[in-house]
Amino acid sequence: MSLALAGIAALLSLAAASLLYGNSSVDTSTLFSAFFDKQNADQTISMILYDIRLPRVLAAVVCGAGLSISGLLLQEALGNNLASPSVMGVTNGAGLFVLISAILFGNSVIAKSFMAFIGALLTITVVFAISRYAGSAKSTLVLSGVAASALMSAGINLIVVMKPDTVYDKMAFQLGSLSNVHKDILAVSAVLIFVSIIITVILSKGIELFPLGDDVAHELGMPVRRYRVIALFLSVLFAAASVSVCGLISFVGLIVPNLIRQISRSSFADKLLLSAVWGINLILAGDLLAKNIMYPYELPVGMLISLLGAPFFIIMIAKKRMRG
Amino acid sequence: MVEIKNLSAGYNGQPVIRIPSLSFGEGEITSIIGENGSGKSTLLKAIDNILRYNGSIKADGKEIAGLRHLERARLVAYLPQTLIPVRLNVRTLVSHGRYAHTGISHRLSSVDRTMVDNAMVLTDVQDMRDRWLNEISGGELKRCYLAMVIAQNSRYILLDEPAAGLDVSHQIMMMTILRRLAGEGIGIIITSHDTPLSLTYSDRVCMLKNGEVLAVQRPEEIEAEDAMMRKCIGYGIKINGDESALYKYRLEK
Repeated sequence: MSLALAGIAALLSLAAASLLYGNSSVDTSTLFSAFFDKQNADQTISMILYDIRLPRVLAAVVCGAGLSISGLLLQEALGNNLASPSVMGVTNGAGLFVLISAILFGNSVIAKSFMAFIGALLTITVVFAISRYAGSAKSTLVLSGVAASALMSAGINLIVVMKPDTVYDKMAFQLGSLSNVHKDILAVSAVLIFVSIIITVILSKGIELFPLGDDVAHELGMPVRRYRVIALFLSVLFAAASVSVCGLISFVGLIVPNLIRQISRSSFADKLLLSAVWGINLILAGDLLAKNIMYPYELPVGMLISLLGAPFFIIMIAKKRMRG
Repeated sequence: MVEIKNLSAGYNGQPVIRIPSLSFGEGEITSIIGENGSGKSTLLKAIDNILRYNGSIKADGKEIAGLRHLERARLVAYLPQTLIPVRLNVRTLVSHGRYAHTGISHRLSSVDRTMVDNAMVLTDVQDMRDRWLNEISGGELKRCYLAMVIAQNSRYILLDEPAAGLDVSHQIMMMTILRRLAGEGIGIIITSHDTPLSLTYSDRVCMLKNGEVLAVQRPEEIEAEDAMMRKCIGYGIKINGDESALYKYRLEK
């Protein structure tokens, strides 16, 4: 419970800091009055607050929750702590199809969200196909994910090189960034993630049985295959909704659920909400750092999180090896 | 009663067991014995529909493969040989046994909580209810999982090698618990490599060899099936004349 309270307190503080501090130096009291009295606020201040900083905070909320929960679901459903939307290639698959959507359908919001989902779903299907062909060991699944991820990444690079106008800021998209968030896509993703969270909470008692092993989960009355398909479908939806907002932010779905699992031993529903809150915090903190570390230049938040995530991934592999 | 007719089941399209007819009664313990690879675990998995099967397996007249998951779990419980020490506390694990009884919300009622507590008392794990499964011994883990399937309150309980890995006193404790459950009318089917132990506590013995049933016999009549026993496990069995012996039966060369 204290972890949840600490998470919410950190979230509120980081969100407030993100609203108050940015590249434009605006007086705190002016921002406060603009926040609570939009009608009489200065137009520039109002634009900074409502068109730049607030969407950025909301994008962090959507992507932090989406990517963390996606990772948690993948790890539970596959019984593999190394699984995450970026390691399994799901984020790259969604990203590739967002770019394909831009080529085929221009700026259609629905097309982008739908294509992101199709890309993510296609990638995880390819991962399972490779893994099934190569043998269903846990390590094979992760390796298949890495291979599919590389393939999708190559596709992204190809489009960025051949059709550079498909993406507004290619570096921000490829490394993951909260700048230039499209408000309509944000709204669609927020709704998708909210609905998916409700469905996941409803199914949480069943999902909680995955770690007991398929045979025990089955004997307790859980339709294991059906639940696994639904959990993977939801994890893909969470990841796709996040990628269409903030591009290819990696490792959030790996770092956060694993840390939550280490610290908290509560129910799956609690872990889900803790993962969401701390995932948001990681992205908000990363974004604050990205905005200020090389001020006045801004780094993509995804790059900073990858700097943290890559060593974390190596430590996890080392720990697995030590356990034998 | 669990009734099996013309059963075949296996892996990757290859049948491991072929059983024309076999039945298991309620209120009794049946031990399935046989060498490694004889199909003991495959038979249990088919009865719980973990493995798809051809033929018919009916429990209380209902075809297992035709039941909904929750309905099947209320009828048949199964404990595999390998149990995972997940990061859960003991009480939560045992509470999972009520999954099939708690509707769509899966919230425990006071009746469910009482059944969970009773199962923990019966298996003597109530004092470790707040301990974590990944921090207890293998034998304790086995008792915790047994408490989970007892809390499930199914009509039949299938256990794959329930006594394996336990010290002698806990083996006896495990079998005594199973005897008590059988006394309450639950049908218990276990697989075992410890033939003297399982015969001592069982009402019937089912001998498997290469996926086929050689014989089903009451333990006290087992000496008459010496040749069949030798074919089944490679050794003969005798009733132990020594009253002070731990088990009623002993293996012979």
